Amino acid sequence: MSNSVIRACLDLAASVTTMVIGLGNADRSDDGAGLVIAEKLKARFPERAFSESEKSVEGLVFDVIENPAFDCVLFIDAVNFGESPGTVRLFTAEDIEKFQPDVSTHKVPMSMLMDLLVQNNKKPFLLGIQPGSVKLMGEMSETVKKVISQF
Amino acid sequence: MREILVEPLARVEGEGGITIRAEGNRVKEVRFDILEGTRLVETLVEGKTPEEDVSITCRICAICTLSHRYAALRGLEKALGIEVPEKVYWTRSLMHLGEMLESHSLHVFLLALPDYVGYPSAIAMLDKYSDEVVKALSLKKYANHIMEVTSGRMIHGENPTVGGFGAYPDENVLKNIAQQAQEMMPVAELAVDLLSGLDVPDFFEMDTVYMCCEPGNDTFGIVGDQIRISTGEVVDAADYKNLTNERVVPHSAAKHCLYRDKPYSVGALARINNLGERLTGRAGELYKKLWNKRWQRNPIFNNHAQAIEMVWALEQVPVIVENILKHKDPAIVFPSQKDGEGVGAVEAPRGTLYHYYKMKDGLVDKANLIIPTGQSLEDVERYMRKAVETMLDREAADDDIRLQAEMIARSYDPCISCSTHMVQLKRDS
Repeated sequence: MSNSVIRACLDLAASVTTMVIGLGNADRSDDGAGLVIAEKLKARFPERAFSESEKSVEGLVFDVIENPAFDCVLFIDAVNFGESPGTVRLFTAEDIEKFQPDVSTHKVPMSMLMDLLVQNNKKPFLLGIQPGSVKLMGEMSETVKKVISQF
Repeated sequence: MREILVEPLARVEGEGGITIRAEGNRVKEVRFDILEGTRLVETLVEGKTPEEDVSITCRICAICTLSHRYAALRGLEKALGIEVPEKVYWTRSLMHLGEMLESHSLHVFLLALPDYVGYPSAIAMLDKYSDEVVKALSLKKYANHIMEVTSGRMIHGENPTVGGFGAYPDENVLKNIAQQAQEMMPVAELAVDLLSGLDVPDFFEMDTVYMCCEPGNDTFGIVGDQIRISTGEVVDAADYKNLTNERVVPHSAAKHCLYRDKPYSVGALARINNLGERLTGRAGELYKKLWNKRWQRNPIFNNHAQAIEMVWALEQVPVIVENILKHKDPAIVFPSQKDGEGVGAVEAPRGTLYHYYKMKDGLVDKANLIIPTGQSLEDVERYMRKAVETMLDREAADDDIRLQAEMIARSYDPCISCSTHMVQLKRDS
């Protein structure tokens, strides 16, 4: 199951009409997974793959909305959906709306960005990686490292 | 005991909550709980070089990163006897405006507005206000670009340093920023229009004191070595301890502040209330059209004040770019002394930010940082309490009381991560 999700995401990322945005916090163990994967994909798609540590996520979403060359956004982040660490799942905008309420820090909520993309006829997806730990300054779990190695 | 809890408080920076306890119609307690842990920053910078200090303290907050960096630079440069050339001042002014625009556009359009157009969240608002949200994102992106160009990257840029800048923005990039400021103006005016058409509840209005930096020369501005208070006093920022009187309260990881034993507020509303008459241009026109005495008694108007400040900031950008381009790139100015003290005061988006430093042998010997959100916390709780008292008398439902308390707290645009930067060490003898 995990392998097929990763293959689907790799196909999605390979499309020239997809923007890849890695999210997370590099200081919090497995929460840095999205950033590391985005960096790996950036080596192959430097014009279309970004991590939130280098660019404003809202700005990137605005670029996708304004630019007809893009029709899809693949967000990648650690997501706690209650499975065993290292499990991956591909979420749609509809999934996220149910899954994540409008709770955020001083950022635009992910659910809102995804909804905004849908309203502008773009297809947003979120690749969620179940973290084992999000401990501050902790080590990344081996299972999550294994997921990263497949990108 | 009737208990109404908001945990966590959404659409603010950091982890906070609200606790309301009442017996019948009598309010027993209204608290704005700061749930973030303390951050150790003032102790972390002891013994560090000035350059290390500016790189550490700006990491208190990713939203106010450039305000922290600017306040640190101003404090350290005073302590080290550094006077920077005009080009440094103007380039710092541009980066500061970029941060103000970025923070205000996010707060006004996406964090505060849903409360006033009757939607539970910005997401729910999208069906009707999708165009406005996209415009807000365009303004935020433009502001992020200014921050990136001046500071070296979008967040925690290292380009502004003690005594100047590592590198100066390219002339064509700056001219483009000036040009885009005019293109962005309709977005800022849209924020003013949206807010000015909304009803602002009045049942918790009461007087308070407002403080902000005094920019001097009878101008509106966001830095200054003096503090203007709505009582009419003007006090040196170096006297920051007597202005703020920080104290620990049991329910909060952030310290609270009082001026002459009374609560006070800082932020966009303080700036507009204290300095608004000095606004010129389109911002001045909007101030004259919209401002009234209710703004001095109701924190909800902080949203409106932020919208006017966005118009002001966009009018300032071309003027500042012109001033930057008048000067050649100066060399970095090095310290003329190794020992000294200095206070740097700037207006962060949420209000007056102080960085105090005592330097010894060129290293930080002592640091004290006073954060805007901490200064306004007493007023946040006071206004929430008055709102809750009135709503209990009116037999309002818990959900309505909860929402009103949230709206008051959110109108301050609190920055909770900033407010919990401090540490108090106690040593057993």
